[in-house]
Amino acid sequence: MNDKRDFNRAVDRWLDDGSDATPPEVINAVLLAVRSTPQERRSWWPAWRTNRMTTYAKSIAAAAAVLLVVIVGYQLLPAGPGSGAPRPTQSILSAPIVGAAANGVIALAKDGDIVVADGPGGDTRPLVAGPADDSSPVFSPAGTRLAFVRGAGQGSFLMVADADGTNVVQLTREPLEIFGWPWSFAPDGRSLMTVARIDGAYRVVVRPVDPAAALAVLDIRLPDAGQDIEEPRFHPTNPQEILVVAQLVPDGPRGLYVYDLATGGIRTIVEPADGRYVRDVAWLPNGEHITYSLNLDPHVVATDGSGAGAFDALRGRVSPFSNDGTRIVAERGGEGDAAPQSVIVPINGDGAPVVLACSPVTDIECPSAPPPGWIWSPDDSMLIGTVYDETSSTGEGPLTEIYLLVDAHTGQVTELDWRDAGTPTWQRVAP
Amino acid sequence: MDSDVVERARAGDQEAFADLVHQVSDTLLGVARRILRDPTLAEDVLQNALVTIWRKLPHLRDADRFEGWAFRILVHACYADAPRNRRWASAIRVLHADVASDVDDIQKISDRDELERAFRRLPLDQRAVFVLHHHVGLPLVAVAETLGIPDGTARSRLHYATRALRAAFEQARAAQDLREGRPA
Repeated sequence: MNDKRDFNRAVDRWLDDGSDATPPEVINAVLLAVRSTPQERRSWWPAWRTNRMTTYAKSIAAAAAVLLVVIVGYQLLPAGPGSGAPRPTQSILSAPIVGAAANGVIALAKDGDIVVADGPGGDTRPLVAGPADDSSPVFSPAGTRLAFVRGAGQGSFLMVADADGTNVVQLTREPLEIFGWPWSFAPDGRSLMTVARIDGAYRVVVRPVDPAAALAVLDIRLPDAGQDIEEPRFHPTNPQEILVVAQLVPDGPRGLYVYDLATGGIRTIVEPADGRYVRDVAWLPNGEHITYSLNLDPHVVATDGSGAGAFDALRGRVSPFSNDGTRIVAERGGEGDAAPQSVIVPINGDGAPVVLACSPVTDIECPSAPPPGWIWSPDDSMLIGTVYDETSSTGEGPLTEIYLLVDAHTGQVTELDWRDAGTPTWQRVAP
Repeated sequence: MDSDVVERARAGDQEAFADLVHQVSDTLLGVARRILRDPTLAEDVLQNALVTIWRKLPHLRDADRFEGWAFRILVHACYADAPRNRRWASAIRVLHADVASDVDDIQKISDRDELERAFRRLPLDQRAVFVLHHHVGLPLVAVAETLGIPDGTARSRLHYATRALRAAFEQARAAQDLREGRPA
């Protein structure tokens, strides 16, 4: 009962945060627009509602119906090879899909276009530009392809292109309401996966890059919308396996499973149990181990489910491993009066942790815990992380994401000048 | 809401519409802000919605239903203009040390941040139902009527939204308990 009361109070406090006074300039702009905007005249009984249609109107209606059938039929057909099949990927850029690679460009979404920068915080140039609303770019593991979404209204289409932005192909015929992450590539670059809302429930969906193939909706139950849904992860080398937090029983606890795309079989990694909350799941880059946080304590387990154990001295949420599988960003300390710190930790104990240290020239505080969305540079020398502008969280300012660059060797943190861009993805290229 | 003002605005009286704008804009902005979680975008959406309301006013048959009708146009404007696919929605809130002075403050900030994160991950249709019900105070039946959806749909959207926020809230409390060494 107290919990419910506390929750209601917290919601009320949160909803009542901030003033709703309309700025005078907004009202002035509206009234100015109204002066030159005619009202629509109401037509109480439009012609199309009449029972008696003229022959001409019937002809128009019939033609429209035929056109509608053709359009709907076309939408339902799988994309044919004539719609622009992707070219074979070029090998000159291909990076090894496991381990460190050389740093390529960084792609970002900006003003409805996909842009690239040569390095963190650098100037951007258009990669895929045009009137369409494009966002959420993600490079394939080999660095040769780029996927992104083209959105309108509440749905978006999956698009793929070559890494240089050419040969753009639309892979989904119907708009999908995806959960919030970009699509992710399988290690062989032949398919993509995300979570989308299908028939009112969130489901894992997989779309082969082959335009002639169909979208697959996996028959595994994700946690109800009332709980966090974790991003499913392709195995780093085996495109048939994905790691997924699922809820096999409605309203039951969440477990961690490996789902076999070829057979539909599942392998239990962490048994579901009341009081257990699994999140931040990831594969080690070599695919031999899996990391996750259990009730905010980082754990590691072999991919056959054996040898589960907690990381000593680490707590909180963890970021993905470095590409070479040797380091992780985690939270340390926080007991008693000690402030928690974000540290880059060598997992084999070889070397001292590197504490994230914010630059004195920025007013951004160092994050005390790394969100899992941080990305390592392909060569593991840097990370890009994201925090919200202070005023965003209070609802008093614009929702602005601030990108931070972390030097993985010194821990130095600096702010990147990318306030009007989003969703960076770093291209891996051959060393 | 003065239905006479609505009637005059519906007949094309721009001064009456200006009165109407002053009467409803704060409420509409509050709804847009809470659905979108972005004040600047909310102002843009409000602006678009108010111009749409002006254009479509002659279609409003019952002046007494103006407010609900305006909410509906606003929510649809939110759907149309909302940003999509924000990745890396960070767990981190930039927090200056002097903001959180004691345990209660930290708890409140933690609660709010978890609610904020969870809310941002909800689909817009769930957000709209939650805001109209909890912030505006509309009964669920009125929410359904306002949005033009069946009662059961409004109920399920509210259910899912509440569960998501509740789970986030409990997570925040559990994490705080862990930090303070209290048993879960």
